[in-house]
Amino acid sequence: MNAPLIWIILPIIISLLLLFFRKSFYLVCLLQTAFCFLILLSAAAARFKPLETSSFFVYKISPEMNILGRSLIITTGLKTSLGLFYGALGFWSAGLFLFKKKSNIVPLGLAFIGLLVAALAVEPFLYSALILEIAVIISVPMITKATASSIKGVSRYLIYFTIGMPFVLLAGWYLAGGEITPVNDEQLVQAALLLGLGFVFWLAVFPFQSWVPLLMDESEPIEGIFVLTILPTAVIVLLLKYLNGFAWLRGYDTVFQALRLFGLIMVIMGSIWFSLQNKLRKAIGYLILVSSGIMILSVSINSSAGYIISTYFILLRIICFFIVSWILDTMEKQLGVLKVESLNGFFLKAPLVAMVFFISLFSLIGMPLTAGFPVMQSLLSEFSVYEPRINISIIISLSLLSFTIIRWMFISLPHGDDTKPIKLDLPLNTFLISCIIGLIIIGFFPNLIYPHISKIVNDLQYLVK
Amino acid sequence: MILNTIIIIISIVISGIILLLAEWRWRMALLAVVQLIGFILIVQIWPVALASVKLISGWMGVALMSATMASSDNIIQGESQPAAKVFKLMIAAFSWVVIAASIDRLNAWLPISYTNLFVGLIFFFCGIFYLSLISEINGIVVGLLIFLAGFDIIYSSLEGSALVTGIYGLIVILISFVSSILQGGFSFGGSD
Repeated sequence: MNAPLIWIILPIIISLLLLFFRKSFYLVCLLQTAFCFLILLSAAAARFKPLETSSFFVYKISPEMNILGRSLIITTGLKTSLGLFYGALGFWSAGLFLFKKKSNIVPLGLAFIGLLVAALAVEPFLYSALILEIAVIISVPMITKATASSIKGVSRYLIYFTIGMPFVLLAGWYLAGGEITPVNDEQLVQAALLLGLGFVFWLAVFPFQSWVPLLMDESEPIEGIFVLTILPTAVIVLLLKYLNGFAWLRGYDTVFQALRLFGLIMVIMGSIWFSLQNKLRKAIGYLILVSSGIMILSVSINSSAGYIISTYFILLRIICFFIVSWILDTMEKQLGVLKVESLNGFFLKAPLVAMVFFISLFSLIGMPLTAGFPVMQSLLSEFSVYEPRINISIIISLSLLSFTIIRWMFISLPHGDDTKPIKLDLPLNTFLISCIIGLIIIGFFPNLIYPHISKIVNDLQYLVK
Repeated sequence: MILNTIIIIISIVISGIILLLAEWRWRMALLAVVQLIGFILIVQIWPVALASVKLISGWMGVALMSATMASSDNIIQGESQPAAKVFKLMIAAFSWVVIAASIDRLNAWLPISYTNLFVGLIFFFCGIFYLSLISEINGIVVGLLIFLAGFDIIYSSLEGSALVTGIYGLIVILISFVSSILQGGFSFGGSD
């Protein structure tokens, strides 16, 4: 047995097998949930073979598998990433089972995550772009339905990712050549430009961001947020792998300046659009862009601390957007299509739902006493050392986001008489209470969980020293 | 040499005509020809078996989309105003001029056969323009396949790999399959 077989090939095969049983949706959902958590446990317990330590809960496994002359290699860092991705899928699937909601995340999510892990594991990693493209194509039926009235967002999503792939492939070919023979400055600029173009398309950097809010508007919040949370995260981890893999790319200052510019544009523009949005789904789409922008900004610091902080944001992003997706779904069930004014009186109608919704939004923007605060505070203090001017833009953008969320809170306060409370069932109540407790505990005791996530960058020996 | 010149001319003509066509059957036929041209160019540098994987996967994609279109009742035909046609042709001509003007510099950067680079770029740009001019899903997928065919001609000339060929073929078929799903040709069920 080897690691890629268990964590890449097996999930894809199981996903395909479960497709045949999708009529028994809840059984398949339960199986997928169990399988995801099993993978999470197996990733936590696995140790790779050269290591000779052994204990009762630990098993040894080979990290490599060869296919047609190429290798799939699961490193310790990737083991953490895949644990996070499968864990997220497990929680999303568990939510679908508990709240009796049908979605194509079951069973396509397994194949989607399996392919993302394969894209991160393949060596030479020039081939990641192709595997990522397959993951994107697989995700399309997950986020849209044949009966959808509008497919503008999903078609742009497919177009931008497909256009991005050739640029990354070509850049990879160019950079691989550069590892063998020395390249001049002009060639370096060309390769960096190609790579930059590819990642600009993939990370939805302005002006290629329009598909994110559109996709959020067209798809169900559960599915849309799942893909939009996990996919850019995988792309950023891939970007880190590229930076670590090519000496002359990470030694080229312009790359990090460009990343800083991209991140800043995403944060500033995203927060402006967020504050101007009337539709909640689209607003959350822009918040996802802001979150990706902040991750790119932390990568752009080009210090060990910067890379580690970017991994903290991965966890924060997955937890908060998971909660937001279910809250949005619950709110839409009660209130119909959500506009900002439809929040009127929501605090009295469903106080617990409203509280969790706002706490998770505040966590995302790093409000004190929430899960996001220690991470955001670390980012700002890191920038104050390397590039203090950037802090001003980040703080202004975060303030804009805060004011908008506070405005939503005021709208949610009751203004009329029709504030009959909405009855919530037991699983939902339990879920909401655990969310509040979880977000606050992470905020108070960040060291309980965040240091474990930083293992994602453990293998990037040239970036994290 | 003569064959290559003929292929370049045919590619230019096809990239112009495919932008003008509103009838899906003609589009599919021309898309199949695009895949054939790609095969003819790649087979000159690759083994037949490997090159034919690209042709077969491309044609499978075309067949999949055609089957869905043939059974679909809500086929949206593109507009056929003369002004729109002239505009599209002008855009195609613009890309031909840009390619012709920059091909030598690009060829110094990408050291592959002149014909492969020229035809690859023609389809690459044709695909991008096609994507920008059309909003229905079938047209978008046709645009993506033209774009991918163009890139494939260039990339295959740079690097020959069985794994890349296999994955590329899979991508082409999956994109066509997704187009069928989005047009209601296949259903995943399970959703509310």
